[in-house]
Amino acid sequence: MTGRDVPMLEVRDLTMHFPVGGGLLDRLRVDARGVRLENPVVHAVNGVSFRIARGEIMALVGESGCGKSTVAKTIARIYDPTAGEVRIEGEDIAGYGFADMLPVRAKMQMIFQDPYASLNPRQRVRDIVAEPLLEQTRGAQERKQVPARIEQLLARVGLSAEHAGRYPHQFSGGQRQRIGIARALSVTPGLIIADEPVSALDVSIQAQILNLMKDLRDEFGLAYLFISHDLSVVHHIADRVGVMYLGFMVETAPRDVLFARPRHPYTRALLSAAPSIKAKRDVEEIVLGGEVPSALSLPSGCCFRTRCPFAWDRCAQERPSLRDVGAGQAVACHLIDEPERERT
Amino acid sequence: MRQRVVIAIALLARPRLIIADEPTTALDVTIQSQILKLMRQQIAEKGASMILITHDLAVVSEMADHITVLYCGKVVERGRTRELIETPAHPYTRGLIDSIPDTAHRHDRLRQIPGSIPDIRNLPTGCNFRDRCPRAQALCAEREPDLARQHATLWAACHFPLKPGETA
Repeated sequence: MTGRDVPMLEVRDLTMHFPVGGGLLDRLRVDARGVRLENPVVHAVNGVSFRIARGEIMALVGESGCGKSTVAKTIARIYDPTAGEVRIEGEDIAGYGFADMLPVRAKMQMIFQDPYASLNPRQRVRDIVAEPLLEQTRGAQERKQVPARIEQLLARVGLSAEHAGRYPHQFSGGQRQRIGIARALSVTPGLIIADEPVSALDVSIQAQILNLMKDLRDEFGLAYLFISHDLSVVHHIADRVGVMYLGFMVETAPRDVLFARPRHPYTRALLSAAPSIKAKRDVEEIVLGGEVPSALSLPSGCCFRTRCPFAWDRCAQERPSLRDVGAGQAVACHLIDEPERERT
Repeated sequence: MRQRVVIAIALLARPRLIIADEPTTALDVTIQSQILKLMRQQIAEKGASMILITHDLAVVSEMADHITVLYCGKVVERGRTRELIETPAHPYTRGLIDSIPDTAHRHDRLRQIPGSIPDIRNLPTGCNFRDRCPRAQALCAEREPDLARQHATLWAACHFPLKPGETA
């Protein structure tokens, strides 16, 4: 099962719907004729599929509320997926309980956006970093090795041995993120899920952490699922990029293909809206009006049609599926069939 | 949408100076570009001036005519936008610009500024940036540099400023 061709992570039709309300009275809602009404749900993730090879960095981009963080948390099984498969080295963990997850957690770890909130303020750094490893380690002899391993890890992420006895509040944001990275590495995982790992950091510190994450990938052959809203960061670190909108994957492509030839109108709008320190660009290619619709009631057909400058009647009737267009690129857009629509 | 309302409120009295403190930091890029466009339009139409406070160099470089760079409470560099972005004289400004991943020229590693910002209650002697500066020499610990004219519109507070074309 762990042959070289089995992806580190494979996600198929992942769906995560959150019920809203859910109190007793909400569950008893009926219409005028006494027929029970369906409870409203937030359609956070709607049938997302992708795979990540060993040592590959896949980025998920999109704006607030597009479901990228929910994808991360569902894969890490912080949430229980509503439907779909999550395969870690071929093994479907979507239905696993807490105890089943323990061995899986040795293969998959998570780094969080807020480096302070994700560290226990009352634990010393050495205990924070050791915790996942101790969970995985049985036998007194093996446990004795843990402190030496922790010291090694701290040194590897750029912290000194004297830092090990301190508490999280004594560190800067960048150092705290280094602690989070050391903790994730402690169990030598094959996959790290990083949810906006540099978004809370200053740009000069951000560069330090991105360099560290890249070095660690090369050194340990790590695969990353890298969640970010920052396209320049994604362009720097990712091998492949998936673009999400309203809980759907609208486009995936190798990094250079996506940045050179984005096909989905949303991807194109996103790329042209991103500010740059380079000299003034030409007019934006696609300017989006309006805002993202509510995930409580999805638009019919294409999720993006309410803001898409090219949308026509087919887009309201039929939901486009993600289709391969060559060069490793896949796009969910009816324009692929009818490209002439764009020129009118 | 809320930020639009706030902009409308700020413009209502037809002010001649608008101070915008991180106006788009909490917004997504497509919304950010709408808001920036709206602010640019309003300023052009009304002839108002604006102080835009932000940590996002990309946003200022698209919006501002002049940029002032602060470090530990002091102005370390100021000048016209294109000059400051393209040929900064202060090593801190250079470091900031180099830390931003460049989508046009991708490098394997980003240039990073080592270390972190000093404790503002306990600043180093001389230049505040010297502990993190690749160009620092003995003089930088002895005397704090004054803001001095570099080239064209650029002013920088540095004993060993970068000349145009120099990288670090």
